[in-house]
Amino acid sequence: MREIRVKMGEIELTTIPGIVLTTPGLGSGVGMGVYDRKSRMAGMAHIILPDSKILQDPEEDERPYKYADVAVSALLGKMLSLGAKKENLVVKIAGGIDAFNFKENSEIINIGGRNVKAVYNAINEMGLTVANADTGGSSGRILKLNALSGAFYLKIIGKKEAEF
Amino acid sequence: MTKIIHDILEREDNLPCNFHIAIQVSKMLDDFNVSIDKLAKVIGTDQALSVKLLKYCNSAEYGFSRKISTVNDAIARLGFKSFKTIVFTIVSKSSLNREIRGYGLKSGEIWKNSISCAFYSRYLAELTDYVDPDQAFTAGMLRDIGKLALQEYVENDFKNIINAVNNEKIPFFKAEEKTLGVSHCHIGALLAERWSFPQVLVDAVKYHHCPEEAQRAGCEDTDLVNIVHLADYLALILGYGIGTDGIMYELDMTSVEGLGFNLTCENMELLIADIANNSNEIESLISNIE
Repeated sequence: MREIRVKMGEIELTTIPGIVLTTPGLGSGVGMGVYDRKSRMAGMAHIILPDSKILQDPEEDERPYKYADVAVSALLGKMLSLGAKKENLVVKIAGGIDAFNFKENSEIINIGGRNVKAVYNAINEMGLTVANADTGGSSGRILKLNALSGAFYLKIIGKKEAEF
Repeated sequence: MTKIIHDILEREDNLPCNFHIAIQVSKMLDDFNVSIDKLAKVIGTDQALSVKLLKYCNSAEYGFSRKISTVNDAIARLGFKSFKTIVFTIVSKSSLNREIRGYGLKSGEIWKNSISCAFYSRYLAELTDYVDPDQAFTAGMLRDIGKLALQEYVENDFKNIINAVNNEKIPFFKAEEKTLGVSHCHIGALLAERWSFPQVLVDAVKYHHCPEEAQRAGCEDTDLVNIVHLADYLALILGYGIGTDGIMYELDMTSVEGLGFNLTCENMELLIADIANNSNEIESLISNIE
């Protein structure tokens, strides 16, 4: 098995059996894994921010896939254009640690919560639903997707990796 | 002094840390009249450091047309400013590039986390016109050295620490203090003092999770503490080398505002967007240092 690390702000897509897509070290970022059960196409996005519209000119950003709105539609759009079918897609997400603040104004730093919400919205806008999600809390996560079997795995830092 | 502090300081020589030369070089570099020969002599006393330094200078990162074969040449080519951060980076890799089991960090993870914190500290220093961005880089790199020493105690008492975090709603380092009698910040600062770190670096190590205490203690350079505090938080939320302590740390808004940031959701996101574009530079430094 060869692992492809999907670094922050990147999307990856593969149809090669034997590849495992993985988003290392999800903090407030969200990993989204997508699998087409028929064509065995696997995709993954490593999102770290909710919305590209904070930028005056989003097209100038050198890593546009760090935003939920851009990454979700780009990855799903690419998979559909390559022959994947919506009814065969399985979408799972993990990450989005909550802000660990007990004082006021914690919304400002609750990037994780805003990321999760934005990823759900973008997925729903594409007419899809999330099959499984593990989000929030205060532990780091690693999401994996095996392109051959379509099996998803989640490792919560400090715990054993488990099928997800 | 608690037993744990006593035991750690007693066995300090066994810790895999060798910052002695880096601190000495750093202090020499602060003196503008220091000669390249003198610096090269000090570096030359550490064979491994000299070899790694030359390898790094000859890596694709720099692309110097002529091969650099002596430490003197390396200093002259790199310049004093870059030289300081490179020496610290090389030395910290040999200290930090290891498994930190007590915090659930596999080999290399605390090193990646430290490098990214160092980069973010320098970025924030430049953004806020802090007087010495290289000092910020070093402080960001070293702020978690206490974890190297405290990890075995954290591993043994992990359940109690997590219970304290959950039941009392306190950050992880406070729970360390409560359960073990000392936090990784506090023991890191005590070690940094022993290793003759400049006081401003000792303070950055000690107060990186509690900048308001630095203010109360009358620290000389609270800007540096504030910078490292925010950089540490950013490195964690971006997931670089995140351990079993997760993000059980608070971001002190007053400290961040003290750096001149007008805190809004949008500004926070713009800051993260900009900082995330540094990730290629971070990956390249990680892969080029042996």
